[in-house]
Amino acid sequence: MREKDLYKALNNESIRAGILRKWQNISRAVESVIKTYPFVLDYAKEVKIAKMEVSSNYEYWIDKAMRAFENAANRSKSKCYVHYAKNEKDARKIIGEVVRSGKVIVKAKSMVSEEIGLKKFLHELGNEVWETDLGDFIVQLANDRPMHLIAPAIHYSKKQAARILEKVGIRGESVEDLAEGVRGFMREKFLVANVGISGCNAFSAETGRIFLVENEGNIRISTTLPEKYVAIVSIDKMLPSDELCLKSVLVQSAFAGTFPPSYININEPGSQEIHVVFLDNGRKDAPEFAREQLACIRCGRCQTECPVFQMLGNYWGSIYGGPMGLVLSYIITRNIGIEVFLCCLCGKCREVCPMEIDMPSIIRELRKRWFAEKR
Amino acid sequence: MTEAELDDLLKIFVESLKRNFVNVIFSSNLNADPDSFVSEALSAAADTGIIFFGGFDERKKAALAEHHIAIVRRDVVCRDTVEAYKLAASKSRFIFASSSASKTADIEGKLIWGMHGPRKFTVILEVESEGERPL
Ligand code: SF4
Ligand code: SF4
Repeated sequence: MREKDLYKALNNESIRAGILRKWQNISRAVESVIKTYPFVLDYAKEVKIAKMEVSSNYEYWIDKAMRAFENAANRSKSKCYVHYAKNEKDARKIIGEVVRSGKVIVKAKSMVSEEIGLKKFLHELGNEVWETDLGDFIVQLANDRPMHLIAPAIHYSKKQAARILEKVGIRGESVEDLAEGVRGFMREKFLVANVGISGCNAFSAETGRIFLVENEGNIRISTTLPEKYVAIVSIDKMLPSDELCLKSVLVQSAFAGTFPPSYININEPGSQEIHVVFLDNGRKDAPEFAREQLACIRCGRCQTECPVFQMLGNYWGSIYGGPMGLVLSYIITRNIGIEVFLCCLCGKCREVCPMEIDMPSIIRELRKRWFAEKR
Repeated sequence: MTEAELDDLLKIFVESLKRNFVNVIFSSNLNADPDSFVSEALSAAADTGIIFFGGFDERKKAALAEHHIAIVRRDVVCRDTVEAYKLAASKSRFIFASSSASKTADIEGKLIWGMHGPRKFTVILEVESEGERPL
C-alpha cells in the first residue's frame, strides 16, 4: 500500500458511490436469499469445518487431490496434467511453458491469476489475453485493478464504462447496448481462442473435479471451447468431496447475493488438454493465528460491508482487497504493512462472513506483530 | 416416492423456476422438440430450480446456444441440489448445471439478461396428462 494510492482512492468519488450502491443491493439480496433458502447456513457450517480440517493437513490433501485428478485423467485417457507451484514465480513459469507464445487466451474471472501477475506475464510472452467477464474486461481496458472480489468494475459508472469500451470500438448509450457490444466482441475471441484459463471455486479431492460458479456464461465458454484449458487452484480451494464443493459454491453465490447461480461448471478430464496448477504461495505454512482465513470462499461480503473498504475500495488490502485481502496478503507475503491500522475493529466483517472468520482478531494480532517487528 | 409426493415436488420445482425467471412449458408429449438447442436434464432440484445436464459436447452447445431448452422428466426432479447432483453424477461423467439464462449486473448493478451465454432458458416439464399444471 502506498499513501499516494490511498489519497487517490479517497478523492475518487466513484469508488465510494459504486461500493455504496452495491452494498445496499447486496445486503438486501443476501437477506432475502437466506430467508428463501435457509439451508445455505447449514451448508456454510459444514464447509467451514471441512476447510479447517483440510488446512490443518494440507500435505495430505494436496497429495490426495493431485492423485484424484491424475486418476481421472488416466481413466479418460486424456492429455491432462497436474502441476504444483510453490510460489507465484513457479506458477507463472509452469503456465508459461504450457501456453508458450502467439496464442489467443480467454480468461475467466480469477483473483488467483491477479495474485500471480499472470496477464502481464502472458502478454510479455507474446500472447493476446482477454478477460471475458464483463467487469474484468472493463477493468482490463482501463488498465486498472479489480475493485471487488465479485464485482470488479463496481467503481465505474455507465458513462465511464461506455468511454472505456470505446477503446475497442464498442459503442452504446444504454447498459443493454454496451453488454450486447461486449457479447459480440467476445464471441469472436472465444471462437478463435487456443487456451482458456480459469481459477477454481472449489476442487474435489474425491474426484479431481473443478467447480466453478458464475452467472455470465463466460466461464463455461472459456473452459469448454479452447483445446487447451489451464485451471489455477490455490490449495485453500480443496475440499474432501464433490458434495462439499457443491455446497461451497452454493454458499458463495448465496452470500454474493445472486442465488441460485445461473451456472455451475464442473470441469474434469476428458475431451480437452487440461492442466491443473496447484498453488501454495504461503498458504501451507500459514501462521496458526491467521489460518482461519484459509476457509474463505471469496463471496466478497466482508468487503462491501467494511466501512474502510467503502471509502478506499481495493486500494486497501492489497490484491484481494478489504478485510479478507488484508489477512490473505499477509499469509501470501508475510509482510505487515501500516494499513492494518486503518481497520477500526468494528467487527462487521466477522458478523457478515458466512465462514464466521474472525478477521478483527487476526488484524489485532497483525498490529501487535507490526509493533514487535518495528521495535 | 408416491404420486402425491411427486406432484408436491413438481409444484415446488415450478415455483423455484418462476423465481429464477425461467419460462416453463408443460407438455405430456416430450418428442415435439422446439427448434433450438434442446437437451434432456439428468436431474433437477426442486428447492433451487438448478438443473443438471451431462456430456462435454452438450456443455459446449449449451454454452453457445442463443436459447437453451431443457426437457425435464417428472422422475428426475429431486428434493434438493445435492440429491440432484448425485443423481446426475450417477448418469454421466461430465456434468454441468444451469438455472436461468445468462446474466450480468457488472455495470451500475443493472441486471442484463443474455451476457455471454444463452439469452433465453426454457424448461419443458413433463406432466402426466395434457392440461395438467403443477401450479
Ligand atoms: S473490523 Fe476492520 S476490517 Fe472488519 S469491517 Fe470493521 S473496519 Fe473493516
Ligand atoms: S472472508 Fe468471509 S465474507 Fe469475506 S470473502 Fe471470505 S468468506 Fe466472504
